[in-house]
Amino acid sequence: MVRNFPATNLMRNSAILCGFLLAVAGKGGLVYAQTKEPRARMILRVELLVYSGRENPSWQLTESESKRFFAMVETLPKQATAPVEESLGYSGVLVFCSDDRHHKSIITIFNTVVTIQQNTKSAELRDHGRKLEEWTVKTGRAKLDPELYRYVLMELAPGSQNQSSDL
Amino acid sequence: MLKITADIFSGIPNPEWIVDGDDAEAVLRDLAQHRSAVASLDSGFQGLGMRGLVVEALSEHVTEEHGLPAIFRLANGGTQMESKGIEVAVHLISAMLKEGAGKHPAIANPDALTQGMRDFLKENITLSRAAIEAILPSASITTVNPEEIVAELECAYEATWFNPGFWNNPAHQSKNNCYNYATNRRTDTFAQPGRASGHIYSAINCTQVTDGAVNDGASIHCAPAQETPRWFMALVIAPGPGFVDFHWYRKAQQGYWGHKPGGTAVRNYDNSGHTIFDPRTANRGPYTIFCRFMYAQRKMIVN
Repeated sequence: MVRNFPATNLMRNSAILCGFLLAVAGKGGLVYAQTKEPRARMILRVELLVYSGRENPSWQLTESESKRFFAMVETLPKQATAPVEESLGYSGVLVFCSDDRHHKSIITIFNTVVTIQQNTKSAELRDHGRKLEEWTVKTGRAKLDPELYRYVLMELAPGSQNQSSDL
Repeated sequence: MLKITADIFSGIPNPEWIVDGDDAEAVLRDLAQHRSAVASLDSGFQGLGMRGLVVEALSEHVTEEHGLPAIFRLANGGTQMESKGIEVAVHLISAMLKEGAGKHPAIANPDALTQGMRDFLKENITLSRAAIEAILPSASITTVNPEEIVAELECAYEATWFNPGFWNNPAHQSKNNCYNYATNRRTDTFAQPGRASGHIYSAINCTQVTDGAVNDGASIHCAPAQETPRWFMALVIAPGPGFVDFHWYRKAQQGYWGHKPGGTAVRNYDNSGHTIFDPRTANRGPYTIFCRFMYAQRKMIVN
């Protein structure tokens, strides 16, 4: 069963996001008191959700990119649960967060909806203007086939079929 | 609002049209009072030729107000009250030339809505194999395939009941793709055409991906009975530029097609949200090339 938890002040110290989510999962609510804990070594891996038959391309964020990612996530407002309509073709990005304490979480970003999930709990945030999604895609510029990269940016462009009204 | 599909062809798109307003309400009221004229999608005659009308509600109220399924068949020999089903079907066919019948995003081929088609459907619905068999269950009838050019129609194949839960399990969903789903083989390896047989495609086009699947044991021709179960699959390609990939569909027992876009969930609708009754005419996004139908045979191995 998926449960929602409050997202306000979700990540004051982005370096412990994975552990933070596990703490929330264990206590069933927003309990953020881990800023004094030693920083965990994290790995953020991005998967571009684009192919059906082929393996999706993926890449790892650098430490500075990881910090930037969490800083952007921290500013996102909470939103009510909203279904994400996947379809054939580009359908957003997955960010896998894991740390050396074996904490894992998955962040799905597509069409203004950001879902953070760990075990059976989740939170949803709103990515106005798809800024986080676009930034995350652009971290893969050097790793992606240039034609594919252009295709995804076109899908992200205002007016594309994938574009939410973002009210 | 109702979407009507005359389920008669298999190689070319079936005629579809919209019945709305008073016509739709009258039909729904009539059927609500004659519930035994309504058949489920998988019941009745499913062979070559006229298989009745598929009636799909495009509004939520149908189920609630009239107690009818969201999608059902009429006049295909699947009920105890075929005469009523045929009567309503004729009424629905008569409405196919009304203004607006073809003007809806759900209608893929409005050009098919001609007077000739209407007359052809009326004749076939009343003289259909389903209708005659309903009267004379033991009658021996020769069905004439209305589109003889479609060889795959003559092939026998099997189909499972659409069962997305088998694939959308968190333990398996991300590890299986469209090829796994179409071949009905949940290997948890994100299978690739030709990999199991050592002949994986060297480029993504219809020829190469087809060859990979054939090397794995699929067939582009009719598969013999000893290869049962034979799943009916369709291959499409996204040719680029930029986006190059392949995608597969598999026909379900209910008559529609299921598919699994990569590691996402299995579904039976297209990019427009419409139930897929023909992958050739479905909204496939960037997968614009329809390659062919194929059969996953018993001997097929994928990885």
